[in-house]
Amino acid sequence: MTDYELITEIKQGIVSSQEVLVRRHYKLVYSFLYRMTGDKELTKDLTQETFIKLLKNISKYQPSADFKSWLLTLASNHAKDYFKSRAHKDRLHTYELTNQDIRSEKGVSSIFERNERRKEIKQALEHLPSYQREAILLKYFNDMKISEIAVVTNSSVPTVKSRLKQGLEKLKTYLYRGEQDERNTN
Amino acid sequence: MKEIQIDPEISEFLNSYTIDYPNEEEMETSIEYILSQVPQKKKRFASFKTSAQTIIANSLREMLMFNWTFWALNSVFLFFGIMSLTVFQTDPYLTLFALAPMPFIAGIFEILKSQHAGLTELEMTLKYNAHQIVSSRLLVVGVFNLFINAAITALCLQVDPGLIFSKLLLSWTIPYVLVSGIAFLIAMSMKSNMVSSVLLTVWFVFCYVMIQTPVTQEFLMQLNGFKAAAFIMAGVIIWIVHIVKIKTFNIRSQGI
Repeated sequence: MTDYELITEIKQGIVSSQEVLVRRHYKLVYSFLYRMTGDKELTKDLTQETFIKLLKNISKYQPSADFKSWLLTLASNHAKDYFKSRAHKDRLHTYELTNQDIRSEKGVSSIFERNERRKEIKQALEHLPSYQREAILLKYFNDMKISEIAVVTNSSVPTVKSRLKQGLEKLKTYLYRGEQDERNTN
Repeated sequence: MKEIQIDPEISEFLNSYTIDYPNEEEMETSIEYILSQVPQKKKRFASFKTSAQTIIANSLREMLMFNWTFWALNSVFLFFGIMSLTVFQTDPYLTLFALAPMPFIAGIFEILKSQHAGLTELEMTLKYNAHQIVSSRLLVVGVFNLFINAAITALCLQVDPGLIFSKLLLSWTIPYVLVSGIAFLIAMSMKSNMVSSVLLTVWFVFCYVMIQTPVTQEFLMQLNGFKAAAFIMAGVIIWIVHIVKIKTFNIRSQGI
């Protein structure tokens, strides 16, 4: 059953199809938002809100649009709204070990290593303006074409290209600087 | 359109950005929360019609995926029934009573197999949700069992036209509704690959004891309409409970 068929059923009032659609794309939305925010709890909340928005507005979906792109557009817009909100400004940026981390890892050192690496990437991505970060995430992690990113981010193809180029340059500089600092401290 | 290539160094750096996914229980809670927040449309008839169509369509697909042992076992039951009636000339009422729930019990393994194999989540993300999958398999096994019972009833009447049709009907309706309902109840809580074999053995032993004990045999064969209706009603109630349970079927409720 395709996404389109599921959506048609949802529009007809079939509750079970909602569950299938959410389940099918939960991880896609979650991973996109996680890389945008780097915070597990926040990502869970934003994922939930994105899907609630999706299901409430499913009648607005046009079959001509790619569903995944449409869904990621919703997720992206929702994340942007959050970043502009007061809640975001008030939130403390701390990284805590989760029970899942503790359960799933063999050694505490590997948890810290992985979390340190995540923190590092998160910091590197946070150095970028959100529109550049979003373009890189969609291109790299969601394997989207430039034209698809343009649809999701509501911008033109040349703009996306320039955002990607600039973002990747900045990331490279950040990485290079990090390595230099490390060498200097050693 | 020329796509931008990502530098291997950056690619390696981004590759190590792993996702801290929520665990299964957290994800289930999250999905339940999402669904609870969405207002449901009240197109009950349309919804029921589409659900029924989906289940019937999926039943055909599920039927083709049933293991050959299910069909082989049922052929044995059918063969055993035919032989008992024609060659060994056993009591047709008792034969029907003993055979009636067997196809269903044998099919329980097929109905619940993905839970035993831990594949429910995978199946649910593909096309149908858990309750549609279980309902489709129940439909296949239930209809097939009904067909076998009807075939043996017809054979009984063919062998001995003097048999009372209503009594024949009651002989298999009670175990078909009540025993299969109880068996499914036990299977839902057993969560074992051996569930069908265990329940079939229990049923064989029960039938053997019943045939050997004149009191129970007499009790079952002399059931009046009121008592029979009470047994069938009990079976129907058990199945209503099952249907409600199946409608809210998810991974967590199955403890997977």
